[in-house]
Amino acid sequence: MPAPPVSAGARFRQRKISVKQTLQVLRQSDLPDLESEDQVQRDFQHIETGVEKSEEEEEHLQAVINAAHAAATGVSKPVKKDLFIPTPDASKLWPEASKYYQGNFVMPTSYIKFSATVNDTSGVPYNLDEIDEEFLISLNKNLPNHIDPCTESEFELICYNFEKAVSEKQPYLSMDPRSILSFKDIEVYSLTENPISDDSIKASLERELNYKPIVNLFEKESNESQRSLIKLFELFGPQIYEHWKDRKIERGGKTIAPILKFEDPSEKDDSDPYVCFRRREFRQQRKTRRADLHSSERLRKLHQELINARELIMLVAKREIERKNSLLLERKIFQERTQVKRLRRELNIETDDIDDLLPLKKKKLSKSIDPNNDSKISNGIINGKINSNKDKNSIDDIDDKIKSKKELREKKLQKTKSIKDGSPGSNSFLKSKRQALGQLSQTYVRLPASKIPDLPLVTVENVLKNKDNDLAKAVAEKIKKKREDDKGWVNLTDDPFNPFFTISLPNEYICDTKHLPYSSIASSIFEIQSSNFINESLSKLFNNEKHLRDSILALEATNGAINEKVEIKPEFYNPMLDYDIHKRISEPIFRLRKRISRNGKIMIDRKGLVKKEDPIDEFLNFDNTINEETLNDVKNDEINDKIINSVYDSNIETFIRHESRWQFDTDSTELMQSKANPIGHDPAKLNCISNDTQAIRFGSMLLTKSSESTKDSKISLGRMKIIQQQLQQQQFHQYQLHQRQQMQLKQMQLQQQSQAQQLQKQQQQQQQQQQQQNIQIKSSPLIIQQTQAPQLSQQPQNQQNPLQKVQQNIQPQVQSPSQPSSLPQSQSQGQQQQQLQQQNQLQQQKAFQKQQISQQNQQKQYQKQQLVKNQYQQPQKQNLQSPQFPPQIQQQLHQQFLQQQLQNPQLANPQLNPQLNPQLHQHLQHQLQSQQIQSSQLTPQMQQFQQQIKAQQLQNQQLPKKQLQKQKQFVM
Amino acid sequence: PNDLIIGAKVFVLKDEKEILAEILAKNLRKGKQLFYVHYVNYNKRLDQWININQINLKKPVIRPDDPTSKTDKITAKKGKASSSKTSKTSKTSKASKESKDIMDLDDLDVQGLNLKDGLTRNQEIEKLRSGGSRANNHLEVSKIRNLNKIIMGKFEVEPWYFSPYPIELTEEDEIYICEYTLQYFGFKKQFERFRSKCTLRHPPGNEIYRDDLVSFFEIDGKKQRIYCRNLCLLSKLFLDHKTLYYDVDPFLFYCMTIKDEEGYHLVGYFSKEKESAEGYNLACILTLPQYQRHGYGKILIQFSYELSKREHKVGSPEKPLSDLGLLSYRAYWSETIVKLLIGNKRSDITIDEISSITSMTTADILHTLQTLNMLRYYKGQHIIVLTDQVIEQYEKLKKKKRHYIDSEKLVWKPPTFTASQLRFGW
Repeated sequence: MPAPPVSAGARFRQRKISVKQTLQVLRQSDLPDLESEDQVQRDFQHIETGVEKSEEEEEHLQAVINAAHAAATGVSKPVKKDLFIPTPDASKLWPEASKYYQGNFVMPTSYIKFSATVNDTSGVPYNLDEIDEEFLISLNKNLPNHIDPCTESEFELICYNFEKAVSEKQPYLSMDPRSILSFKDIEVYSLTENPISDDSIKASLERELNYKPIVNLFEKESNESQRSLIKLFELFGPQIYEHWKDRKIERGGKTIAPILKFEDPSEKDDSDPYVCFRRREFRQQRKTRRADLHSSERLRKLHQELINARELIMLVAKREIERKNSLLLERKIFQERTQVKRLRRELNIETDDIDDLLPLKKKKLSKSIDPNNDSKISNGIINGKINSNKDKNSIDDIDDKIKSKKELREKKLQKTKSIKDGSPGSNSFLKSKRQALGQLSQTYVRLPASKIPDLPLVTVENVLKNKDNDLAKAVAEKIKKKREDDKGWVNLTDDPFNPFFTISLPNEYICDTKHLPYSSIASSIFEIQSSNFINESLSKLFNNEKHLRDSILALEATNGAINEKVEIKPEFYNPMLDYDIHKRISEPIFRLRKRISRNGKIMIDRKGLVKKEDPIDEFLNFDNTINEETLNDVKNDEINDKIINSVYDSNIETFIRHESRWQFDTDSTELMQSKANPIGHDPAKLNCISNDTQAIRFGSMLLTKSSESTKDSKISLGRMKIIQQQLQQQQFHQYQLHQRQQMQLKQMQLQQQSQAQQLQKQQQQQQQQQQQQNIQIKSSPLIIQQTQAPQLSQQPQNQQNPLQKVQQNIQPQVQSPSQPSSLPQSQSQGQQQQQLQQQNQLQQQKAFQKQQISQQNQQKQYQKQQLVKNQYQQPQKQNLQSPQFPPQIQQQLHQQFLQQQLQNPQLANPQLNPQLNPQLHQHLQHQLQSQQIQSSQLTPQMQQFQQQIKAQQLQNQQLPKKQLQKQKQFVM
Repeated sequence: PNDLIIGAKVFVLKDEKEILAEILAKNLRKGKQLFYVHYVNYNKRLDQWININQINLKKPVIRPDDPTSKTDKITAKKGKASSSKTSKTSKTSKASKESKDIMDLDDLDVQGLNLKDGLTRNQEIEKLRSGGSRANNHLEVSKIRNLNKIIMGKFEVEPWYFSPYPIELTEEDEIYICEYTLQYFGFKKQFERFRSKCTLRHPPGNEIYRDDLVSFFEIDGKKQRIYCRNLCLLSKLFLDHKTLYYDVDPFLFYCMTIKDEEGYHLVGYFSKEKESAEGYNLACILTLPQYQRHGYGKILIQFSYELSKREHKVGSPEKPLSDLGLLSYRAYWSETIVKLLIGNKRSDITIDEISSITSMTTADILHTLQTLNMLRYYKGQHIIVLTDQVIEQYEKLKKKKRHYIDSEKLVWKPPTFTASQLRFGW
């Protein structure tokens, strides 16, 4: 190698190069001055080759490298054209190869996927060698004549079983080869069934699939029929064992076929070059409980997956076996038929009867109907509109047409068949084939083009178009119906969807309807004809047809369960019906008393629960309730002949309501609950507004109500005096009315008493009467006390009530008629009017004081409202934790609501319609309507007052409204 | 003749040349003394048994313990080399502190080679855990070829090196190797019986590539232990540096086959670590001798780079390379780079770009450029020069009908293994 002179450029040549550096790629021809610039011929010896140092200098390699280098640098032309490293000759062909490598291999068109191992594909692992061969020949020579000679395969099988037994039973045989198992031992071992041996697996598969033989796909199919191992052991076992044992001992206990030398753990020295494929050290994973659990879990999973996979494969195997069988049978049938055909021709049997040749004719014909049916269906799809609009006759017409067509086609088919049969020799095969085809593919029957029915072509496009049209139509209809439903309904809420009610206003009762759209109370005056309300005709049915009643199934609205046993009388919410109010008034659940304690705290006392049993126990005693119920019903029937129960005073209803309460005490999720019972749910959700909006609405309602209530309290106070005066007047009038009745009963009394006395007495009686009424009507003593000053003082209580209830986390209140009453029934009837009036006035003042307090502390009140609001919403959020809470509140509020409404008529009715039948009064009291009527006839002040109530009710409405619905559901 | 002890060096007449050879073994066969000699400075595959009359007894016999002999230099080369290298390794370790992008042209570091020197034997064994090949086995037994002839398929092949086939087989004149399963038999009858039962017609794995000429099968060492062991035993016959110290589990084997009506015939293979700590994309590579010098080696190499491209990795063969390996790789590298540069439309390119296109390591690229004398320093900067000689060789090469791998026919996703699958103890 000529060392070129080191130029100045080379001395300062940059030695480092960055792989990120952009390098110009130039051709040498473009750089005429390259050689002069690039003087440095780098000593290529320094270039690392990656070859072992000691070998790098081997002469052949060097020669080639040098030549390549010379060629690359162009220093000298290579002497030899092809310089290569000589290797030992390997081109010699083995003449015998074709003897051992035979057979045609068909390369699959797709890439091979293969996971079987060498062992899987190599048959019996024992290979007999020359020594064995020699022995085998001598063995077969000495065999008695009746025994077939032992084949090589059989010999291998025997030896393999010997080897297997030893390798499993005596893995350390090489320590003492003479201790080798006796033939008997091996025989016992080999012939006891091993569940995981190939043979037993095959056998079990054969049993399971009922199919023979199960073959390993990778095993060569042997032409020779092999005798079973038991037989072989019996025939040749002992002799072969002796031969094998000798060889084994000679080998020192090792396998006869040489195997690789593996690592011997006892030998530390690993210098033996024949030892190969050592294990790698495996750092044992730390065993933890968790890891154990994890791996056992994974093992279980794996096991399950394997089971599943096996099951699948077994099913596939079974299916394929069935398929194969059916194919075989078909083939057999075909062969038999050709046989029959041939025989017929030979025997000259002429017959048109083709049944024995075509036993499937009828079946086939019935199949040929299929496309017609299909087309009919498709017809129906296309002409769905027409069909649905057409009457039955037209459909029948179409059917007839199709039928006639079908018949025609059948005839034609038969014809062609007979024609075909006419020339059996040429067509028999084809025909049979077609038959077979018909058998196989049942859904498709090929018809000649001429016989394809003239049906409109059903295209996917058409079907889809029709579908779209139908959809659009349905939607349009829905919208139309909705519009009709919404007529006269103005949605002033944020709710996206107006309640789906059919509403008609009982106009005869409402004089002033202007405010109705704004009144939420108004909605409760409507006669609601929603789906769960029994309409008139249905109610007639219920009333008149007794047998219908028996067939009614009670559907629990809450859980959808069908209850056949419970006999539920249909209940109608018909406010106009005239019936005894006494039935409907239940005892007060408890009494509340509000008082101011010494240090200014407001105390709320609850009374009336003392004597009660544990309400839950009582509640759980359903039998009693039901018995009671039936008893009551009987009584009711006795008392009022055919008075239909109201929703509100039915004990069954109460019972169901209370029972359903337990549904809130479940583990079910909120979603499930809301599905099962859309009522006891978050008002915000029910209103379809956010919680925040709900809170704001509720809060603002409370605010306006409280401010209005303070304003109104003054007005109403003044008005109360007028009312009282009027009341007295009215009482007088009533007395006159009453007197006549009284006179009949107490003629003596009346005659004796003076006018003035009479007046007083009358007043007294009137008062008593009213008192009695009150007693009967009231469910809360509080309200009774407030009869004379109702809304005024009730207001704060109403505010407090929910609060109180929320705070006290109300106990379940079981409404039962047997509840001890602390009503003023105990008050003597001889109580003086003045006393009562005094009492009333006292309460008025008290109430007024309360109102004053509330007025003064309006801010405080507002805070309270906020508290109410917050606490009202909190339990809603806590629905899950205390699910029975909200419905109770609802019930409470609802009761209150009713009470309030009951109260009003007492105030107003006498004033308005002194001549009105007291029964009607009571009836009206029961109604919200009555309130409305009054309000429409009251002074503007009164109207304001009413509106205040409305506002008050509005807050309650959300829940009671739903409650109402719920109750109606029960009615159903 | 008494001097002709094991370890002694004598001049032996070979191919009409007298070559210094070391006696590795002696054997008496049929009353004749035979010597197993290794020709100094020649590859071990040329080692052979010779008669005493091939030894030139007139020339001096160099005894192994003679320190003054001139040949000692050669034998002692190892010590020298290692001492010279220790300084080098320190240098490279210093260099490695610099940016990885910067390469020292004077001291291009062949991956995985520089660290090997100065290792103790234990360390070396330790290293074997991750590597598939191994430096010279110093053990005497393994220096001597132990099989005389293998019969595989329709070829009779002379082994080159020692391979740890069962020691019983070494007594046979020839051993029979089943072409498909690579099972080995000392007895012809055994082989015959085996062949009559064997149904395998291709390497037992998934075919991942197929074109008109060759097919590639991917075989997991863990799943096909027997086949892979057989393959390793076979390839050890022709690969000096291969080690069979550890089992085949950590490797994937890519077997190249040609096909005919009998089946898929194994032509060559390369193994690849499932997870290479040193960025090797190939561990051992072999074209069976009966198929050598037909260009299969380059197909194998190209295929290994195609796999790396699929993995979006760069890779390099595990070192040390054999002499034949080096030549094959250099040829492939040169061809690939020159082809890329000539075909490249842009007038400039970075080494990095070449690397990402070819999946070759930057070190390999720089090596190749240097060997081809293409990397020049011109007017103050490095340039790549397509020299006349390079272009000439390229044109010559283009005329040859070479077979190339069509990457579109490669149906392969880089196999992924979980940590536990890469823990190879059992």
